[in-house]
This record gives sequence, structure tokens and C-alpha cells, in this order.
Amino acid sequence: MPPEIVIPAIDVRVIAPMLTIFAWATVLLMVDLFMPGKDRKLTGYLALAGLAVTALVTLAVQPAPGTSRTSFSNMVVLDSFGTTLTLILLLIAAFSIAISINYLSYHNIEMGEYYPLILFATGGMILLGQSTNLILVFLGVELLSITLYVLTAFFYPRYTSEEAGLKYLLLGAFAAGFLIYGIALIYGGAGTLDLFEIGAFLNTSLAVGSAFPPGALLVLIGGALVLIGFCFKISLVPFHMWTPDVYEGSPTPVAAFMSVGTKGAAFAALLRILIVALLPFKIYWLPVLGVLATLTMLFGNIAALMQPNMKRMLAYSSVGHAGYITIGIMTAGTHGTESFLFYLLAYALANMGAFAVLITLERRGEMAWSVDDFAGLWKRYPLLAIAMATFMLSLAGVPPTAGFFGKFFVFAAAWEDGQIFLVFMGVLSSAIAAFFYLRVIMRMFMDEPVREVIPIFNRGLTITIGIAVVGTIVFGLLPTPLVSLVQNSVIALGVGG
Amino acid sequence: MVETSYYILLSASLFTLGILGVLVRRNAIVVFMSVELMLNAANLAFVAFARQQGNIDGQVLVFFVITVAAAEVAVGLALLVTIFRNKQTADVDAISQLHG
Amino acid sequence: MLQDYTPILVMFLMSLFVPLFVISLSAVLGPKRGSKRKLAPYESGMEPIGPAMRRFPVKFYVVAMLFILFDIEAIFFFPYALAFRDLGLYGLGVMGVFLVLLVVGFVYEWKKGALRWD
Repeated sequence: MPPEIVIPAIDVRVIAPMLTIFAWATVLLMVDLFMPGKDRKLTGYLALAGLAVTALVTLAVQPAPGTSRTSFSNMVVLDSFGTTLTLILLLIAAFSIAISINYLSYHNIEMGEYYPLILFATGGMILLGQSTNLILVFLGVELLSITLYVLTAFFYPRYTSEEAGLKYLLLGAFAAGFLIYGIALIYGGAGTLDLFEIGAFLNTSLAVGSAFPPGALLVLIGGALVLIGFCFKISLVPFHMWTPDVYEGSPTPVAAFMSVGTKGAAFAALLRILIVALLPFKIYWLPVLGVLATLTMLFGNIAALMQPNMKRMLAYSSVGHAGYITIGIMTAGTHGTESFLFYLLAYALANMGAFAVLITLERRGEMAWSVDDFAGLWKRYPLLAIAMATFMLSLAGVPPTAGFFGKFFVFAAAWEDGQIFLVFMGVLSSAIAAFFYLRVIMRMFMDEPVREVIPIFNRGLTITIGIAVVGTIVFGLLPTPLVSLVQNSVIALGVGG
Repeated sequence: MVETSYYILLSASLFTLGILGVLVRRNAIVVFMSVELMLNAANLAFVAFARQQGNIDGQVLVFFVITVAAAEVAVGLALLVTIFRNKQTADVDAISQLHG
Repeated sequence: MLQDYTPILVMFLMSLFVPLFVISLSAVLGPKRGSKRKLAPYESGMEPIGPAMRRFPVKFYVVAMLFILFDIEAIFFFPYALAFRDLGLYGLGVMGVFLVLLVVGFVYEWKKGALRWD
């Protein structure tokens, strides 16, 4: 006699943001298929509308402060952390689409699938931020990754794009192998895939006796494998090798989307796993993450220092920033998630802006992205130079920009946790990073132009750069509203309540 | 009934073989096959653990792993075909115009 | 205990016997008029002998990949088929959504011309 099947109570509000974006993406795919003509800009605008609708839905279903909702047998949670993260991810996706609309037609790669793919990837990211079950974590990671493999290779028939796609796919699939095997071991040890239950299992099994129970040991090994899988996705040193190649080969808006969106979502999922399920193992993962963060900050920034290619430089800089975000999630167990979310938003604004400026200078059929193109930009296009300077200062963490407060909050939380060495390494690597960010500014303002560069402007790029500049400066001068927003974004540590 | 630990031992060996295959083999298709081996090692572990733990969560996850693996391979093979048209090779060492 | 498996044994023997019988019957009775094309190992036109690293149409891969994708989706129907009475209307609705998504994929590949052979 098979066990009786009980259909769990379903609260659609919990998955409403995902439901909206996935449904919109599916319908958009069909709409695009039956849309006549070659021009696909309308699909892009419809995708933007979908993101706006999703944002409205997210706001409409957001839980009351301090509460959370779970549904589908506690597989998904909607807490204020998830809501804030979703809104940040939607902003990132909107920026990516805005800077893509003319980019695609300019480079003759305009295909309608691009926009639904971005929406699907964004939905995967939202899922990652909200899932409290390892099944959904795996599905979110893969949804995000598989769409990004396709997007990376979107610059068909440019060979480097295909190569980047294949490299990303091989390493991503390799990482997925680690992730899923780690999940298998955790399941074997704890007997459940639910993050809350894994946490409860560890608490009870570690409390009994002084010996290390075998179940907990399996969870520990599995946790390590899951961490390795995530390290590939968020490109922590020494798992970052793919990052510069993939960013260089992929279409620039996709690189921008990947550099911020993937990191944000994967970090959020890792954060949830670490502090909901694996908190009893904090003594183990804290030092490991500390070492990874130190290596990442130092190596990423030193490698960026030697890059003459702007796109590769931004790739290495994104590796470096992953190190700072790691410090942010290390302190989340004691200080909440505010430093992580603030850093993510500040980094998203500055990085999307910097990539948008890169797109204005990118020419058809060319793969240069040389720092030389920025030389003397101030004399020709002062506004563009000022915008780029703002982004570089924010990425370097110089006041009065949002990036400064991002780094400040991360370091302050780490300092209060007694992670003095990490703070020291963070400041040291920021000093190294300041060199190459400031080098770009120096070349823009001091040098004579090396070659004739005619930037391409269009509405999407201008609006993106404008919002990014304003956001970077406003949050740099008046961080208080944002701080109160992220301080109220709490991860649900238990079911309901 | 065979003890769970044997299944886990087998799945761990398969997983290790998969890792070695990814690291050692140079043909992209063989690398794909090695990744599949890793995923299927995890599937074996899931099924064995599900039997041991007495709940079917692990078996449910196996379905998703199979589906995801198929999607991944479909995208991967499509990419390989486009690269093969370009370069006439599936050797991962030859696919290295980007460097870093 | 073991007798419970007798039907399986019978089934096994039957399944061994029937094809053997049919094959030998056609070998004895069937006319044999071989032509070059008919005697080729693959009637699909694949040349079985020659260098292994050879170009052949990508169309095969496209069809194979599409097949894998749709074939794999079928595994979700097996658990549903086992539990569909217990799941009732809810299960029907959920599988309906699943099917709609599959159809979307199918319409997409159709419109994109992935099913056209030439």
C-alpha cells in the first residue's frame, strides 16, 4: 500500500514574483516567434515591461516587516531579504536589457530569444534567492547557468563568443557536478533536503555526546563540495580561471549581467545555506571563507592591475569584488545581511554603468576594449568621462560614492566580528585596486587621445548611465534610506513567524 | 539486501573517475561524458541514500538531475557543433583563442 | 516463494522463442534478391567504411538533441501516472501547465525550422 499523498497547502504569493517573470518570458518567447519583420526592439521593450510588472508584483506580495511566508512544503520562502534581493536583481536585469536593445542590432546579432533568455535567467536568480530546499537551489543554479551559457555564445558567428560559451559550460557543468554530489552527501547525512531541517538535524546531532557523529561528518563533507560548486559560480580564487575569458568572449551586456546578477544570486543562496543549514559548522566554514576571500581580493586586484584590455580588467575587478562580498556574507551570521545587500547594490550600479560606458565605445566587428580608447575622453565627451570616473571611484571605494559605503559597511562588520586580519587585507587590496581604477581616470583627464573614438549613444545607454551615476552619488552622499531598507531585510531562520 | 555503504563507495569511485576524466581528457565530448559520470554518480548516491533514509526526496531530485543534465548536454553539443564548423576540432587545448 | 516467479520464466522463454521462430521462418521462406544498396549495413546512406573523422550532416545532431530533450521530459509523466488518482484535479492542472510548457518548446522549434530536414 503506497503512502497516502497529501497535497501541501499552497500560498501562491510566495512564488508570485517568479511566476510572473517565468510566465512573461514564456509568453514573450511565443510573441516574438510570431512577430513579423526583422526588428526585435519591441521584444526588448516588452521584456522591460515584464520586469516592471514583476517588480510591482514583488512589492505587492512583500511580507510585513519581520515576518516571512513559506509554502510548497517549506521549499520556498518569501522573506524581506528575498524581496530586497529580487528588486535588486530586477534592476540589474532591466539595466542589462536597456543596454542591449541597440547593441544587438548594431552588432548584427539581433535575435528575439535574447530577451526571454535574460528573463529566464533572472527568474532563476530570484528562485536561488528564495529557495530553502536544496532541490530548488540546484534547479535555480542550473536555470541560471544554462541560460547564461547560451547568452555567452550569443555573438554567433564570432568565434571567441562560442569558445567562451563552451568554456563556461564545461566549467559550469563541472561545478554542477560538485554541487550535486555535495547535496547528495548532505542528504545522506541529514536525511532531508530542507535547509531548516538540516540545521535542526545538525543542532541535535552535535549536541549529543562529544564524538563527531557520522551523519554530521557526511554533511560536513557535502557542505565542502557544495561550497566548491558555488566558488566556481561566484568565481572565488582559485576557482576563477574562466571569468576573464568568458567575460571577454561574451556580448558586453551579457558580461555586465553575469558579473553582477549571477554573483548576487549565488551569494544569496550560499548565504542562506550557510546561516540556515550549516550555522553549527561555522567554526569550519568561517576560516575557509576567510582564506578564499583574502586570496580572491589580492589575486583579483593584482591581476586586474596588469590588464591593458578594459573588459578583462573589469572581469578581474569583478573577481576582486567577489572577495569583498565574501567578507560581507561571513559576517552575516552575526550582523545580518545589510553589508552584503548594500555592497551588492553599490557594485551593481557602478559595474553596470562601467560596462555601459564600455558599450558606447565598442565598435562593430572589433574586439579591442583597450584602455587607450579612454585616453583624452574628457576633452571630447566630458559627460561620459565624468560618468566613467564616478563608476571607477565607486568601484575603488572612494567617497562620496556608494562604493565607499559598501566597503565601509563590510569592513566595519568584519572588524566588529574580530576579523582584523581580513579587514587589513581588504584595505590593502583596495589600495592596490585604486591604482588601476585611477589609471583609467588619469588617462581620461590627463592624456591626449590615442586614436579617434566616436561613442555611440542611444536612449537605453544614456538612461542606464544616468541612473547609475545618480544612484552611485546619491547613495554615496545619503546612504541612510538605503541602509534602513537593507537593515530590514532579514533572512528567515525558521518556518513562518 | 546490499548495504548502502557499498553503493556509496561505488558512487564515490564513479565521481572521482568523472573528475579525473574532466581534468585529464582533452576531447570536449569526452569531457562531457565525464561530467555526466559525475552527475550519475550523484544520482546513484541519491537513490541509495533515499533507500537508507526511508524518504523519497532523493529520488525526486534524481529526476531533476537527469533533466538538467540533458539540457546541459544539448546546449553543450550545439556549441560544439558551431565550434567544430569553425575549427574542425573538438580538442579543448585547440579551443583557446582567449587567454588569461 | 520461487514459484511466484514461474510466470516470468515462462514469459522469458516465450520471448526467446517467438523472435527465433519468426527470424528462422523468414530466413527459410523469404525470397533473397540482394542488391548493392540492400546489402549495405545502414540503409540510411551512412557509409560504414572510411576515415572516422569525416564530415557528415549536422542535421543528425539537431534531431538527436531535440529528441533527447523531449525524451527526457517524459520521465516526469511516470511518477504522475502512478499517483494521478491521488493527485486529482490539482495534479491534472500541474501536469497541464507542464504540458503547455512542452508545447511552447515544440512550437518554438517548429517555427524556427529545426524540424525541417532540408
